[in-house]
Amino acid sequence: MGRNVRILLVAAVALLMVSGSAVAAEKKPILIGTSVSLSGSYAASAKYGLEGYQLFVEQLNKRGGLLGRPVKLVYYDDRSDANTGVQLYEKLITADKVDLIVGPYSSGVTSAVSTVAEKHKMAMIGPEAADAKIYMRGYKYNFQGQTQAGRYMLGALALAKAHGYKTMAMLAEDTAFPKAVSEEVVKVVPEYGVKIVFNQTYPKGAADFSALLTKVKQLNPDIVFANSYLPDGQGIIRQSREQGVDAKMFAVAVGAAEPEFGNLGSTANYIFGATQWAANMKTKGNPEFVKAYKAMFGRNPDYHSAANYGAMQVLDAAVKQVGSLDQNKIAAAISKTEMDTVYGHFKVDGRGVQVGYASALLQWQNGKQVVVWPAAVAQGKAILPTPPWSQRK
Amino acid sequence: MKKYSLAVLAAGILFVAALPHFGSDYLVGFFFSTFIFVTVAYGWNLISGYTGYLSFGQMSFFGLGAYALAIAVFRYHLPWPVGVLAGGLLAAILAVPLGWLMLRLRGPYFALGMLGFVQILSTVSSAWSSFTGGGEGIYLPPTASLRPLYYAAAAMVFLGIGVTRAIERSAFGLRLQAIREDELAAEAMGVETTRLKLQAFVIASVFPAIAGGLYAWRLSYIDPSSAFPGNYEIQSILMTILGGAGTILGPLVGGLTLSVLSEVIWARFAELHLLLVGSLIILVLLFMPEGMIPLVRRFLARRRGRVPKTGMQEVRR
Amino acid sequence: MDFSIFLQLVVNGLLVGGVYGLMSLGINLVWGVMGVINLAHGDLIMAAGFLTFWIFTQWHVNPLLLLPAGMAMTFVVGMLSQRFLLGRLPQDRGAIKSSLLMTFGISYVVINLAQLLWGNEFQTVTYLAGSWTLGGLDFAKARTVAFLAAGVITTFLWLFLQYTNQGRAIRAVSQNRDGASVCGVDNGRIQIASFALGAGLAGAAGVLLVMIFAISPSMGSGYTIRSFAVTVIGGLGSFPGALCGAMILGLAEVFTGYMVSAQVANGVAFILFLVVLLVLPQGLSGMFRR
Repeated sequence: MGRNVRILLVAAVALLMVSGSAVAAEKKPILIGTSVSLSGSYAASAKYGLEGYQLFVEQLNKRGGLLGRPVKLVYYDDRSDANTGVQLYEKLITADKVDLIVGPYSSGVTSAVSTVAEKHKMAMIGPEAADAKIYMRGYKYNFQGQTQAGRYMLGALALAKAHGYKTMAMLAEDTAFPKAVSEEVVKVVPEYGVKIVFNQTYPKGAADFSALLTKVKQLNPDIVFANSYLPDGQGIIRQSREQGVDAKMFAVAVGAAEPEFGNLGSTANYIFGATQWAANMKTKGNPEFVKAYKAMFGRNPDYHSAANYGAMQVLDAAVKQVGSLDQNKIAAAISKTEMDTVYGHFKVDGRGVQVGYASALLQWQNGKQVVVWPAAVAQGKAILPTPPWSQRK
Repeated sequence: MKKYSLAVLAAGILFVAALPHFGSDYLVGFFFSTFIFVTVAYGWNLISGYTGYLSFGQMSFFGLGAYALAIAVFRYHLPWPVGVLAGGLLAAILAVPLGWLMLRLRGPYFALGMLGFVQILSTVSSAWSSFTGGGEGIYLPPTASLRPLYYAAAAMVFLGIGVTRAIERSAFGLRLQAIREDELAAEAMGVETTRLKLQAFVIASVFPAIAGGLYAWRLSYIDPSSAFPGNYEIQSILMTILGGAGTILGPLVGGLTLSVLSEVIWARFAELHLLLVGSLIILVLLFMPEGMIPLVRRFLARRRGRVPKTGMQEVRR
Repeated sequence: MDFSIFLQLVVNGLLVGGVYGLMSLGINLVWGVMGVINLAHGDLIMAAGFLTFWIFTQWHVNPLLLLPAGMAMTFVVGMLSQRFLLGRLPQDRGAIKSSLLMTFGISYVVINLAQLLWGNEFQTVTYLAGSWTLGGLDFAKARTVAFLAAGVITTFLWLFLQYTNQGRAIRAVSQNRDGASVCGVDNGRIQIASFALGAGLAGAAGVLLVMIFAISPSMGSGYTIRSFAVTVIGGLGSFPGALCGAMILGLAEVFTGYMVSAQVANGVAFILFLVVLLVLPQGLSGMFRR
């Protein structure tokens, strides 16, 4: 039995050493911690976000770092799982002793992680949390760095109104963000003269939507909204075609904005998707951002890249303004910050809800994404109505 | 021998009690999650290690405990210890009809039947969104202090050791092991297998339920995928077989070993985590199927020049 | 419910059911012959699906042509697993338990290898868009092709088991292991052959599955349980039973999805499975055998 105790002691000593070794050289870097959904259903979008962080940190170090110290990004894979995210932020804060944190991908993970940030009194901008409810719980250290969910589908609704479409079917994954989008759409549709005839959710990881779509087909709505992420958004559109759901307009909340949506081939054409940013938008520093991003990663940024980059810009400004790593002061500074990032005009209200950032709408036309709304940034005109599937190649 | 184990126990309690006073938050957090796994492992050890009913469904009680805590705190504003205990009680109550139904199944039918039951509970929690929060989950207020949770988890581990020890030395425990070795023969000899199995099943259900409650309070967030974590099931099973299924200290020894290993692995080779856990399962089954405890016991006995004390493990060979 | 809707749901259910049938055949075979549940079955389905996706995106090969590649890969994995891992476990009273745990270990290894090779994201092969319309009903092209391919493979398997020496030997072992051994059947070899064959069937199912749905490396266990559920519903070792079970599961999922909710549809496999397990332990085929 003595062996058990010995194992215990060895374990304890080993762990103490690991946690103690953080004390290192003088000019040790400022650590910025985050979790990233490198695997799981959010992986495609989250990768763009991570690259946004990485680009900013790289540029910051070239400019001489933060407070005269170099900066290092520490991140782990949260597997698109809120529970893992919580454990990783605990680890980042208590074991890696990071100096600053930035938010993970998705409202679901951010929502769970926000309590960790709050508990440890660490200021956190959540650049991928569109669900504004997260910021309505009286938290003091959490700030929304993404357009509110309620604004995602406004472009699609505006087009629907302009074309006189009346009925809508809505499908949503039953997690924080997609449900928030659905709730907000339900609130505003009367203003657009649209009636919701179908509104159902499906569990995360669902792959077969044929039963739901059979029902949608029967109701024959003018508009179909898929409040989804990438894999389920693709599944819903592909299976809409298989089940012959001939709506006049299809719009996807997240997913259609990713280049990977184009894997659907001709099926992707005419599909609308919310986007919060586009490479040609005239936000501050946008062309330089796009150029640097392409040079570093060899691909075009998407809106997640820009949102995460923007969050870093705000954090950087706040830390510089405070002149130290005092989390209380940083949180106070962020809450008062009003600045133009590559992503748009950043401004949060007293609760931390984002009120500055706006949303745009793109459409897949001939295998390419074309921004069609609002007029100020449109690259082309929306093509409506969507032709019936039977007449398409 | 008795004095010796008493001293070990005292040292163990002292270490566990003192840890938060000299260890970092991270270390306390590490031991908390290890204790959660070990608690689940003690439950599994009772039903699968001693009684021989391989269960892949202990997570159903874990999830029940997690939801009981979340709902007690969030909807009824009860203090968290009440929520944790309520979870344990609910699990024991649910285990009676469930065990009555499931324990009629044998071998893989029971194992996968229990796995199916986890999926059903997960479906219920996802579909009954007005009560459980559905896929969005339930957010709890952030927990201020880890210490009470840590001590509660440690207490569960000691309870697990105590209960297992008491059972192993009782007539009840011997009958359970008789069921494991040959259920038909045990029945023929007049062992009331149905009642005994059910009792073991109920006791085994309380451990994961309490662990689930503590875990949910620590996480301060619960949704279907975090309440029924499949990897917890596998980790706790691996811990038990690594330490020695059907032994008193197996879950603890296996749990500490695996936790330290996976903390080191997790830090260095995060992308190889599953590969390493999977390979470890395979290696243990091939080269150390009885686990560490029987190996150590035999080694010590040989060094003292004594014949090893034969437990049921050895009889089986 | 409109009658045409009813028929459409039946079509959708049966088309998915065909693939479920193929998914479950491997589990059924291995279980029948060896008394082992291969918990890595779903992960092999997943791995073959990813192989298909990978080759398809690289070279745009028709995914149906990749059936042999997917089957070969999982066949070899199965053969090696049985030869070097499962076959070495002690054949004592704990054999069922240790083999279950062993296949679980294999499952973790397969998942991790797939992640390393093909990444962690959801992927699908967009082969054949849209549907054929026949008598007012929509037959989704990809699903119909997968259904037909599953039917062809199932038929070949049946012919193999019925009319070849190897197949007869497998059936003999599954009916009476000791008896077959007495008649000169090499038990160890048959076990390797059937485990590999079971894995190969998982591979075939994976190739077809990725043509219909998005898959991700961590989704394998769901397919394992579905395959097991089909086997339990239909009855162990029964060919028509398994196909019946698969169709029932396909229909049940589609109809609960339509009438109740997608959440319940997701869990209906397990509900059916437990009900059948507790009420009809021999599965549907047991009802007729009696």
